[in-house]
Amino acid sequence: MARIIVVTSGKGGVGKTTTSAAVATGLAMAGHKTAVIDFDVGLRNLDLIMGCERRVVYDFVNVISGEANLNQALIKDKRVDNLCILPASQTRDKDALTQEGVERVLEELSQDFEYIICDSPAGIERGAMLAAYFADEAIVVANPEVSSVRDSDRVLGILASKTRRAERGDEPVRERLLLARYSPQRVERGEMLSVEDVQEILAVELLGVIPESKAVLQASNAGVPVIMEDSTDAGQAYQDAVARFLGEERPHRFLVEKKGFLGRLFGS
Amino acid sequence: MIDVGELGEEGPAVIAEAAGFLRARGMQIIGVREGLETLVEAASEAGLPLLNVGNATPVRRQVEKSEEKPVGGSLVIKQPVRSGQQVYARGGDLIVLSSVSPGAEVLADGHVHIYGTLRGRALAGVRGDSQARIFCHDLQAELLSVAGNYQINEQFKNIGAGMPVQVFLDEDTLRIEPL
Repeated sequence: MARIIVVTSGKGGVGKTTTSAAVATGLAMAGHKTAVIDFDVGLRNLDLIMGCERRVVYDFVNVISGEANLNQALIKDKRVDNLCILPASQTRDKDALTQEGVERVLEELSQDFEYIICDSPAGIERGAMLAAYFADEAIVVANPEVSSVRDSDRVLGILASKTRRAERGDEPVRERLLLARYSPQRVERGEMLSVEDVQEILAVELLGVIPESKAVLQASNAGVPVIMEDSTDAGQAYQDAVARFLGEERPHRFLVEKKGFLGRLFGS
Repeated sequence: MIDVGELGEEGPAVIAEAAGFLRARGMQIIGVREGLETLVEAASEAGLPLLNVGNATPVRRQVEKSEEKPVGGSLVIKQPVRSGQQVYARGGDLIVLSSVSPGAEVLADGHVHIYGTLRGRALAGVRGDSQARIFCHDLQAELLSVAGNYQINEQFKNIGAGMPVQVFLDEDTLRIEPL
């Protein structure tokens, strides 16, 4: 039985899709069969970040409505074995997603995959609710900024009450926080919330801190998951996060301003 | 459909006014469903029929379901109360072992105890008990209220941050004192 992981945040533009792509790629590189699903029906993005936008024939909604089967819609990643992408539909709206349909697709994927990553749309409407509903684990992406933290708090409340696990009274969804676009310099100047501030408000386990980095935008534009960029700080931070996700203990890096030797080693 | 479930102490007056407003514009009011007892009373005074009052509960089902049944009239919440959530201890005290986030609301007919940081709204004695108090370990609340006497953050923002305090009513004035 696969583990279903939702990547969610409430607020838009904080790095959900970047994180979904990085975590899915990281899990696959670690040898786990992984599928990543874009739940943002109508605003297809994941395929761009994954660099497979020209290979999309059928999508998630086609599978739900029975116009295609899962094997026709799944796109196998060319760089990493064990990784498949199920893109969202660009032409439909979110009402095309049904709970029964999503459940059926997830069940079918569970036969073949170890991990299923659900890339949630922003907000707390239907698409986001369905992406979270069947989750076993959640990665809540936040930026060190008050409105993002507030929205993440709201989403954590939903994960604790509106998911299948909550409704059945099973063990709760395992929630972990990924703090993205972190800039130690700006924290030092008091322009940004610190990791400690965010953790104190959200009171949830920290999966990783991703530094603000030009590498993220460059990788997105090139259609390469940033985790594959070994030489960049953001890539390494995602590698650490995936290792922690798989149970490895790693110290948090990139929490203080890079200086001297380290600065040269990691670049900027 | 108008949701009056979230109206606080001013609710009764609002309902009477709303009923008059809607009728003056030729709208028919079918009835009132769900709400605090004071609201339901006010609605019947305004001549509105009651629907399904037996099910009336201001506590969201999610919260009620995830928690154990109140022991001795008090409700114990072990998880953080997050933004957008509301917890109401009907007929007793509310004890929160964690923090209350901004945008969250905790209410009790009796006292409210918060063993973490209070960043949201806390209302004690919501059915008029002026002896009810709010206790918390760190006060950064958005709003405090005892028996309908409330203060917003602007009025007390420098008091009680970073230390354990209690909030109580002293002849209709809300007092915040360190513990």
